[in-house]
Amino acid sequence: MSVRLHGLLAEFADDRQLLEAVRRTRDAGYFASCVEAYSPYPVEGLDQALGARHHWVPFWMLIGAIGGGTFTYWLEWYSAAVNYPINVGGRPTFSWPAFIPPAVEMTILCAVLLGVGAVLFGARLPRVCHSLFESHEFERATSDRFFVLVRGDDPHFDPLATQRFLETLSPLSVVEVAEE
Amino acid sequence: MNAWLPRTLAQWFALLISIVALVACLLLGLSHEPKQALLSYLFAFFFFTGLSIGSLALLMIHAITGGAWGDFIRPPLLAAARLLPLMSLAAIPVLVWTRVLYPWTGSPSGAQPYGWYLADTFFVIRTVVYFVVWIGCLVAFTHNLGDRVRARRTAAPGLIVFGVTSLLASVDWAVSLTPHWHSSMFGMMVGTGWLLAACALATTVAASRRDRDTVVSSDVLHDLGNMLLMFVLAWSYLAFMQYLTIWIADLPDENAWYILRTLTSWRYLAWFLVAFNFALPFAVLLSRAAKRNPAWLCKIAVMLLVASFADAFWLIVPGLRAGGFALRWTDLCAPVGIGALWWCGWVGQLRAARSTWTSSATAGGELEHPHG
Repeated sequence: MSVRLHGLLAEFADDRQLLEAVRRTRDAGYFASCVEAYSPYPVEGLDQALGARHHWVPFWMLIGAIGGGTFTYWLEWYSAAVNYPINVGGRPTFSWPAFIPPAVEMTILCAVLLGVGAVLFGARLPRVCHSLFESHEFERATSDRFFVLVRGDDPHFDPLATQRFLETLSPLSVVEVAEE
Repeated sequence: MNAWLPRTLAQWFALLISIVALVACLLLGLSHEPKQALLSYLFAFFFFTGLSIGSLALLMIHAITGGAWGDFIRPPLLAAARLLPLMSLAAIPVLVWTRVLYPWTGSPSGAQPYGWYLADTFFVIRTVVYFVVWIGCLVAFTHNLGDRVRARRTAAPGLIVFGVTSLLASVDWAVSLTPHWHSSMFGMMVGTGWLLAACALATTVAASRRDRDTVVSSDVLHDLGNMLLMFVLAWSYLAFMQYLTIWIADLPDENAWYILRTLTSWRYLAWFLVAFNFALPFAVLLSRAAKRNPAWLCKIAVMLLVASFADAFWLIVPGLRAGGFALRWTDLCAPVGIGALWWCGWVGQLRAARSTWTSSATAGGELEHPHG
């Protein structure tokens, strides 16, 4: 064992086996933050099976929405009513109803941008190289195979015991993934 | 048909209250202050008819989209939609006293340049046609409800008919109170408001204490909460866009409707709608936890139902009460009268709808195969 292990990767043939394997792995005491599942398409119930994780995405989207909306509305007021007031057909310089649509658009835009940013940051993307890519079996994760990864940094992780446990889930294969 | 007969003491009591209130409103009100009494009656009729039509439209939407949410709210929606024949009878006072109520009748100049359209007889014919079409849709749709494919085939044209007739009916009943005013967004806004009210009513029933522990899962409540959020956003968008386009153009023909409603003391009612038909439900329904909690969702749905009621009041009543916010005693009588009658019928129909759809569900029918 000269190579440090990134984790152990178990391969399954369909989504039901994947779901069952994830449930039993979590029941066996492995932490939610150290068990990962890979599937070619979204599997209903997989999130719940993996267990509750704290997502920062909604928080950052809310910040983006409030910040973007408030700033845009303030900017419209400042530019039209304070910095450069001009008379448009006798309307008040602070035309509050007319300022709402741009503020709404910016609310949505900033919420989405911060949400995408939070997803990328949380998933540690972009990243061109990852230990999993060294595994030959893993190539089929995007077409027709389902994988459960138990990461080596889980306190319950033991190369032999975890391998034996994963074998009991009747996978197609269990392979070691070396740390890059 | 025995679902129409009152069975419980509460139903008989509601029927009694309804008769007393309607007699007071129509007999005393008409002799005392005919125009205002009919105005109160019109707004109550408008709200409860909208609740029934909105329910039918929501049922039709579900027949096309599918999904578990619709199977759980089918009994209350079906019960509300089946009251359309009752509401067609409730239209009779409006049709009989059209000349008393609407300002475009009588004087030929009042309706110019819409003279041929806003004529008494044509108005009555149109209202009769709306109800005939709606009841036709209801009968055809409920007849095919047991079969998903046939229900879908009836629902698709039914929804097109709903779009057109709700637009025309809302223009006839509400917009023509201000004869020279027009807005192309009004019908759609009213139709969305009716769907919102129907969805709020169904959600109230689904999330209320009696049903909480038995059938409704938190996933279904989540879906219903999202639907409410969607209707709130759609209504708010249309209502605001109508205000914005009229405000920014500021043309005398168009702005009269809003000057009355936003510059007199009616504006407090407008703020009430902004707060309770948009801001508060929007903020609460953003939360995933609130949508999955029956108690919270029920409170929000009841609030939206009350706000929809206030919305109907805001759309109708200021039109002929130009002096600012004012209430007449008939404003209480008319909704209590029509509302109690509606409730009495709805409870009976709900009981019938529940027994039908529960028995078919246990026999391996609808609830077994929710798709989506």
